[in-house]
Amino acid sequence: MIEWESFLLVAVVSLVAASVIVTIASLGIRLFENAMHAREANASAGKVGIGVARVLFAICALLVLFGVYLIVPAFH
Amino acid sequence: MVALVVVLALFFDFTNGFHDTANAMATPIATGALTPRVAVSIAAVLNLVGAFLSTEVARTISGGLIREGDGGIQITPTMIFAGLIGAIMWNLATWLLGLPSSSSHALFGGLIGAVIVGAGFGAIDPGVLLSKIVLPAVIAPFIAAGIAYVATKIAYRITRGPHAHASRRRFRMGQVFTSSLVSLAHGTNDAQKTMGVITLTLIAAGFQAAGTGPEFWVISVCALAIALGTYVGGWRIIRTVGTGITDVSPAQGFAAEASTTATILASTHLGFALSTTQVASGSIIGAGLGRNSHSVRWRVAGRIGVAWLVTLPCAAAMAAFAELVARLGPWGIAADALAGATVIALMFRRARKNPVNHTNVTGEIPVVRHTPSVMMPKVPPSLASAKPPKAPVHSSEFRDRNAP
Repeated sequence: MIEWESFLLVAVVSLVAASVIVTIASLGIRLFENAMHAREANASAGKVGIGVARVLFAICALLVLFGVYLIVPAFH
Repeated sequence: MVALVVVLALFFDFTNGFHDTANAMATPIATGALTPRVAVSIAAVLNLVGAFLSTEVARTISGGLIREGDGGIQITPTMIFAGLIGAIMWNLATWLLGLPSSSSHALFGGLIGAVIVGAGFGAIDPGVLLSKIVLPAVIAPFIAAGIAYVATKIAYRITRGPHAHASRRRFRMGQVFTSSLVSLAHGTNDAQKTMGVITLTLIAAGFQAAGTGPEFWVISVCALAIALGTYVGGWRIIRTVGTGITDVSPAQGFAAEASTTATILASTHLGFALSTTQVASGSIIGAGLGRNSHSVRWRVAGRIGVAWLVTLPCAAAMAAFAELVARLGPWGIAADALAGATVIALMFRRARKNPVNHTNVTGEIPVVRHTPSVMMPKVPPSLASAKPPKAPVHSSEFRDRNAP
């Protein structure tokens, strides 16, 4: 019959993974957008926001690479 | 006979490719993150690469569904032939109706039907059928919908504020990556099924030693067939998934694709296999609910659900019939092949009467691409998108199909 344990595991892991990546991407996008608007008003503003957003996007890129790692069997 | 099976298997691989382009590429096409041509090209390349990347080919055609091998029944090339005919017919019929159905279920259904006629009901393991096919098929859309619902809520909550409109459009960039991951995962999984079928046929016919992996030419042609199918693109299905279920915005598209990717990767690595098609469609429903519960067209979703339920039995019935005819001998097989070719030709002709391709895949209403809340940022999104514009294209298409 159905393996409820592995099913629950898949459900929880998927939920956490999807939530984490969407949270990071959304935060990055929001910071980036706000910083861009701040810069329109004042050319020197928004540097911190853009910097943090870049870090968040980099984390997203790493998560995508981890996805590729999981997909390609030769890597593990 | 073996050559016929190989050709049919490759044709199945092709339909598999074009049936499943929608899983990865429907939402980026719908939101304009990728143009249709670019989207199918990326998907095709990633499927091609994916097919070469994976070394793990199914040891048994059906993964234990059919009691095959030692102590069980011997699956003959004729059964595989009949099973493939059933699977291809069903894949093409659902494509004509624009319904995303699982290609794996069609393949398993076809084989089950052929084996039941060829070897009796005892050849099927009902426990495996229930735990590997039926229950996951019921569960997959719900789990995917739930995850995409949460993900969409998160994306909208975080990006709300004065610059919500501009922010949410930026999710298009993310969609490119998430949908590419789905494509790559698809290539590593689905081409393997056809490789397995061809290899087992070659072994059964004595052209290849038992227990050996697929020959390089088998891997190559399977990779090419699935990539070509993906590139040709099942535009009808892309339209249903991308704009028929709900009007997808970039933030929803990203949330849905991220959920699909997470669920598929988790399910393949933690040992609870779920169908990509069902996960992808469920995610889109969840993303629709996450933004606005009225934005999901339940009639379309219901049709898709019905298609999932009947995929296995329908493919099985067609394959069973094909197997009955094939048992008459060489003439039966010839009749099968001829009838199959005729039906395929008729379906393609029927499709040309009402063509859906890269030019009209997002429907005829450009408003689908930019949701009302995006165009009028001062109206609260909940109000602005309460009544999404009905897309006349989809409903009329479905009505047309129902008429006869």
